[in-house]
Parts: sequence; structure tokens; C-alpha cells
Amino acid sequence: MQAKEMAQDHQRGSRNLDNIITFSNIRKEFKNSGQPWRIVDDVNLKVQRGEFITLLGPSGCGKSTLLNMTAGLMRPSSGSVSYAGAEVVKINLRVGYMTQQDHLLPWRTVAGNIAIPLEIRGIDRKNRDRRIEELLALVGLTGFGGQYPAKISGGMRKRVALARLLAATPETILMDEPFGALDAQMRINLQSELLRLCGQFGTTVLFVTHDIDEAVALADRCVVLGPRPTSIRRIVSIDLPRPRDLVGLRSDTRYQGYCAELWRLMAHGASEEMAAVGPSPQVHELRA
Amino acid sequence: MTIIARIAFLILLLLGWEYGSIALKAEFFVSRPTAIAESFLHLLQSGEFLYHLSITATEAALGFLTGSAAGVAAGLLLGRLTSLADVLDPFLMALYSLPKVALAPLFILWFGIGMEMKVILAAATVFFLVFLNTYTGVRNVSVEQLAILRLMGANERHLITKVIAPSAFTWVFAGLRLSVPYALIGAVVGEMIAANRGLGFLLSDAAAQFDTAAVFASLLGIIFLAMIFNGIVKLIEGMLMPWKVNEDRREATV
Repeated sequence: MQAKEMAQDHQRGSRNLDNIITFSNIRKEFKNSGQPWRIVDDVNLKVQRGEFITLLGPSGCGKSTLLNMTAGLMRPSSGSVSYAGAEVVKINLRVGYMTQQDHLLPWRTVAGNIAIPLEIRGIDRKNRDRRIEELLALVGLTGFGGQYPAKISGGMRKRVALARLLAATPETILMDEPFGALDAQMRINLQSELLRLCGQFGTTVLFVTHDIDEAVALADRCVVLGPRPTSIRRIVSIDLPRPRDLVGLRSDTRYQGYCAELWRLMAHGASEEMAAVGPSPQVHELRA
Repeated sequence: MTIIARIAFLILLLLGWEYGSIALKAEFFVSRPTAIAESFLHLLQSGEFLYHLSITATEAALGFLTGSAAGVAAGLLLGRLTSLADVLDPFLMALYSLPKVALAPLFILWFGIGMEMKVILAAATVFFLVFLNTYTGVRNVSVEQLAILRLMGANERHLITKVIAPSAFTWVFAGLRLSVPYALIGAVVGEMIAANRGLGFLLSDAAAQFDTAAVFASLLGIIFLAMIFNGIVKLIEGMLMPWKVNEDRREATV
């Protein structure tokens, strides 16, 4: 696995060798009713500055755990995560994190929620309001600034969370299935917007998804993770030109090729897993 | 449509009550709406009703204010001093499980049978509800919301003003709203046990004289007062916490 990754690093060497995030021999265990429960098993990954990485894997395989470690909200049981050359030991202020749940503050309006990172940075009211209007327009929520989160739909709340994330203009963005709850139209709009902004600002992105199309369409590299305890099964470089037209991409044969490859990888993993939990104990008994 | 149905229901109820009471010769036990209205009008005209209402309202309001102020203060204090809270926990729980009305005889012994005793009784009831809500509110701030803000570079002051205080406030207000009817219960029960004025006194006095119509008239008065109290709380809540109103109006989604 490591050899393959190194080969890929070499291949991309001409573009940028600046590693921003490095996962080294990451293991993570939780205590589950007294028993140690391994979630992540030996993950090694180097992410370059400005790179768009999608983490693709089955639900509950510990993808979010990797994001939590990058954000400094969680420490690995062994191994280390380093960010911009320093080990992440406390909360990482250089990343923006869009979690699966939106965690909007219910007592603040949509505009009030987007304002939080701007208030923290001490931006004055006039500039704040202007920026909020821009962000609302960006996520297609113009006119909804005065609503409370409880009153809008789940998809709209996601878009508010995205606007809040972008308001903070972080150097690195961590996203945990951010577009899962959206309709196809909105999803493609926001994906395109995300790609445009990241391209413009050179933002590094770690993007967790279980949607194969999304994983291919957005990524520079797609990291395919196995079921729990998760380890990297394969890293697939997506050599599609940028800027990408996310609609046009669907009829691109290379794109279709990548999707097919990932489908095979995922399906293979699933059947392996079935075999592992399936009849093997009985077979063992018969042999004994 | 609902309004019409409600009016129709009320008319049916009153008619059934009126003629049922006469037909079953049960007037002594359940009175009749017309007799109750007459008794109520009499109380209103003589000024008695407003007098007793104002007494009960004052007791409940004072009890509510003192009880909730003490409850918020104690909740904030113990919410911060967690080790003290751990020590006191079983004692507070023991006191909480005691029906506060059972303290009435003790309060009569200490404070006499004047208004003070009703205020204290109402305050004791309110205190625990507000205290427990405030305490929970201070302790139950969403860890995730704090983490999200920390990632945005928030310092302690930001966390307190933007997350902890508003989050605790919603709990405090929930406690306040919950305790309004209990303040009224404290006042009315206090009056029923020992008093010579207030709606509770009016109620027990009428019952002692077997004046069923006056009993129902007093109950009507207590309902009236409770509705006013709840209306005021609802109004204040709508002003201070507009997002809560929205939550109430939201349709259920699965």
C-alpha cells in the first residue's frame, strides 16, 4: 500500500510536493462495553496542499474519525497526524469542518449562524452583512437570512452550514458527507461551487462520501477505504482535467472508467466482507 | 371551522349540564350553569371576585419571582461548582421528591397564615423546577456546537456569549414556563389550608357552606387567572425566544 502511494506521490511530484496533511500509521480504538474496538487500522496518507481528496468507503467505517483527527478533536490511539509539518495535538484552527449534522445554533437565524465566524474575526457589521448576503446567494438561500434553522428543511440547513464554513475561509476544508441530503440539482450546483472556490483559493479538501460518482467527479485522488477496522484499500488518481464540467463529465468515457473501477473495488470489498462473516466458522468446525 | 365546532361543543355542554342537572335532581352536587353564572356575577358586582383574584395573583406572582430568582441563582452556582453539586445531589433529590404542599403546615408554623406563607409555598414549588432546569441547562451545552465554534477560532468569551449562555437560557425559560401553574397551585393550596382571603379561600369557604354554584364560580376564577398567567408567559417567550415559536408551529417530520 505504501509503495503504491509513494509511486503516486512521485507521479504527482511535478505539480506540488508540499505535504499539508500526513497520516502516519494511524490506529484508533474505542472502548465498547469494556472491549477495545478498533475503528481505524494502519492508515498512511499524504495530502498535498491544494489537493482535493475524497475518502470513499462503506458507512460506519471510520471515515469521520480521520476527519476528527485532522481537526484535532480526537487523537489517534497510535501513530500521528501532522498538519503543515507539526503534529496535531490540539484543536486545529486552520481547518474548517462541515460535520454530518449541521450543528447550527437554533437560537440564531440563518444569517446569524453564517455570521458566527465573521463575528469571531471581529469584522464590522456592515462588511459582515454584505458578506452574508454574498454567501446566501452562493448557496441559493437569498431571502432566507431571517429564518430560524428549525423552520427550514434539512437540505437548506446543510446549505447554511456550508455558507458558515465558507465564511470562515479556511485553508483546509474537511467535509463529512455534506451533500447527502440534497436533491440532484442542488447537489451539482454546490459541488461545482465548491470546486470553483477551492480552485480559486487553492483550498485543500478532505471530502468523505459513500457516493462513487461524487468521489470521482470531485477528486484529484480518491482514497478507497475498507470496512471496519478501516484501512486504505486503494488510492485512485483521477486524472481528469480541471476546471470540470460536472454535467458534461457524466458522458466522459474516462470518468465512466473510474466509476466502474471504484464500483468493482467497493463490490469486491462487500463480497469479501460477506464471506468473512458468513459460513467460515462452520467450515472450520467441519475440518476440525 | 374549529371555532364554530368549539362554540357548538360549549353550548351542548352547557345545555346538557343545565337540563341534565335538573332532570337528574343533581343540582346540589353539580349545580347548573345559570346558577353558577348568577353566583359569578354576584361575586363580580360586589367586587369580591377582583379582591380575591388580586390576592391570589399577588401571592402566585411573588412566589414565582422569588422562587425562580433563587432557582436560577442556585442552578448557575451548582452548574459551575460541580463537586459541590455532586455532594448535594442526594439531598436535593430527596427534597425535590417531597410534594411541596406537604410543607404547608411547617410554613404556617413559621410564617403564620398571612400572605407570606402562600408566597413561600409557591416559591418552594417553583424553586426546584427552575433550579433543576437551569442546572441541566448549564451542564448540557452541546459539545459539538462548542467544538465547531472552537474550530472557527472562538475564545472562551465567544463560547460563553454565543453558545453557553443562550443554550442555558432556553433551559431556564423552559423551567420558568413549566413552573407558572405550580406557583398558582402553591398559592391556591395555601389559601385552602389556612386563609381568609384569595380564590382558594373563596373555593373552600363556598364548599363548606354547600354552595355548589359558588364553588364552580371560584373554579372559574382560578381557571381565568391561570389562563392569564400562561398568556403572559407565552407572550414573553415569543418576544425573547422567537425560534421557539417557530418550533411549535413546525409540522411534524419523520
